[in-house]
Amino acid sequence: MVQQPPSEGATEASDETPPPPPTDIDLVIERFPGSFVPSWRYADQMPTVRVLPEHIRQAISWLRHECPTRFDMLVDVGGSHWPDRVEPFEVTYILHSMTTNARIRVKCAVASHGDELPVIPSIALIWSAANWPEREIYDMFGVEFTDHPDLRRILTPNDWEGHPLRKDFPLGEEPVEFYRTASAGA
Amino acid sequence: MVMLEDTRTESGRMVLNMGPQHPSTHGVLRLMLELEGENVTQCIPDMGYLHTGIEKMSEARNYHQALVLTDRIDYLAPITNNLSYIMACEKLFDVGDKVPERAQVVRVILSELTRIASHLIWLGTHALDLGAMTVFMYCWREREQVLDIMENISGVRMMTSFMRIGGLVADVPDDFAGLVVDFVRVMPRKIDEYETLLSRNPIFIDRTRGVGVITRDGALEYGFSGSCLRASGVEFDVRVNLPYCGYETYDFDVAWSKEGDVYARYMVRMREMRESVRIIDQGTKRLLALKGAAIRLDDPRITFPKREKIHSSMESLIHHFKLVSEGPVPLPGEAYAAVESPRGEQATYIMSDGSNMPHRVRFRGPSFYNLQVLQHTISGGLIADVVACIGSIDIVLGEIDR
Repeated sequence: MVQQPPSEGATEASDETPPPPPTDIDLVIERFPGSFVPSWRYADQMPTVRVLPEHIRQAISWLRHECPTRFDMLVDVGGSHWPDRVEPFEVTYILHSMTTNARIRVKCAVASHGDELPVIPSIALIWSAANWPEREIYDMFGVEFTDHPDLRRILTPNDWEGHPLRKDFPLGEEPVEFYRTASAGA
Repeated sequence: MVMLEDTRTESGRMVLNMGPQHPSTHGVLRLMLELEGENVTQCIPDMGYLHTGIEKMSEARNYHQALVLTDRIDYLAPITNNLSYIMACEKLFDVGDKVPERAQVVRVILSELTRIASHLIWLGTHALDLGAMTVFMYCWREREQVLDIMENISGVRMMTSFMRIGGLVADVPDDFAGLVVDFVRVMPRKIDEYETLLSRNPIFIDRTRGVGVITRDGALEYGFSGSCLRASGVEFDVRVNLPYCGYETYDFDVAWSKEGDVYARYMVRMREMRESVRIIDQGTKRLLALKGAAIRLDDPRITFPKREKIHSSMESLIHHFKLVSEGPVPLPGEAYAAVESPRGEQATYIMSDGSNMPHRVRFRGPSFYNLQVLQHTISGGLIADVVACIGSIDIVLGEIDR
């Protein structure tokens, strides 16, 4: 009788391996409803999670300040345009942790309605590194970042029309100004 | 310098345009400075003068063709751009860990040679901005030696495009190792020579020490990387923290410093050059030990058949034709690959939709992030410190504007 409880405990421990500690991705999914791991091939093995646009600012802030793995460096913010998807405009944030050398990729995708620009909350106020990259995404993809301190075009001139990296922006050559027709050539 | 029409604001401050053609802006960067006497009260950088649409162009080329565009991003360090692009492609084709060792060794040697060449340009122009003319000439002399090595392997001095998916375009010539050994032998003494001109030079120290200080927190807040980050007290180097190309097997130290001022960034880069020489030295020994080994992966999906086989076998000819006309086709997916370029974390992020052309290619230029901090560092400082700050961040506008 006295020896029973410890032996029970010993058999339990040998039968069931303790569950692995939750990864950062699990914690994000648990914390921010609506986030999930996209079914897509990430050939670089970087853990990836997609977060709803309304949570992106809290998610990035949480990963930076509160997550057990402190992701204290914002490596990159980049955009992409997938016209065939339901939410064609995607913004990707890559974060790095100086203490564990772990990286995490957070994605956020939005649709645009009619001629309006797609809208994502800006993280430039909580992380200054995102200031220029968000301006670049605004410039190149026409994604509007709400509460951005200085949302202007950055690489193209201010009077540029369209957003060059959208898939519907033509890649074609510039029209030739002084085009010489066969009749005028002589 | 061009002054605006309305040069005096209501508060009696002067608005001054520096650049885009000012020599100290290292390319075509335009700074709008608001001055009160000699003090800068506000700085608004304006860029995009060098925007070439490389990312857009890459979307209309197959995976082999887009390589030549990457040379032009950071035109002072084409090899590291090549490398990050090629590494992203290799991850996308799932061959990242199968690249032959000899190719990896050559990649490391070339990356480090590029780092020295790029740091020499930085040192020369930075010193020139601060009024030291001689260092510029000395740096150009040694950079010439690196460019000669590049010419020896590829026939081109700068835009080598020497990497290929799965290895290198060709083996290095027999005299390559000899040239590198010569360079390794002279370089440490040359670095001593630059240091005698600058490290204890009172004018240089006055212009750089305590100027443009960026703290550790500030560096992380603004997404710094590379030497600038290490000079602010963060020991982060992609070669050590996320090793690639077998960097973990080389013996070298990461140069870093706590001060975070212009002088600290100078000292970190000088030490980095010495460490690069050490890595090249170890690499040359490995290169000689691996003489005659394969330099390219043999994977029919991505690598071209051998020239002799094209002449003798119909299948190889068709295979070659398919790879040239259509190009290699990866599975749909994404891959991010980062290398430590002379300026910081240079990365390529490729998204594929399963066609023969990338759906999206993003190049993360370290200068783009490093330059963000400039407007905050120089506001409140003297106008003479502006050139010291720009020089110490070591920007390349080709990479910022892409």
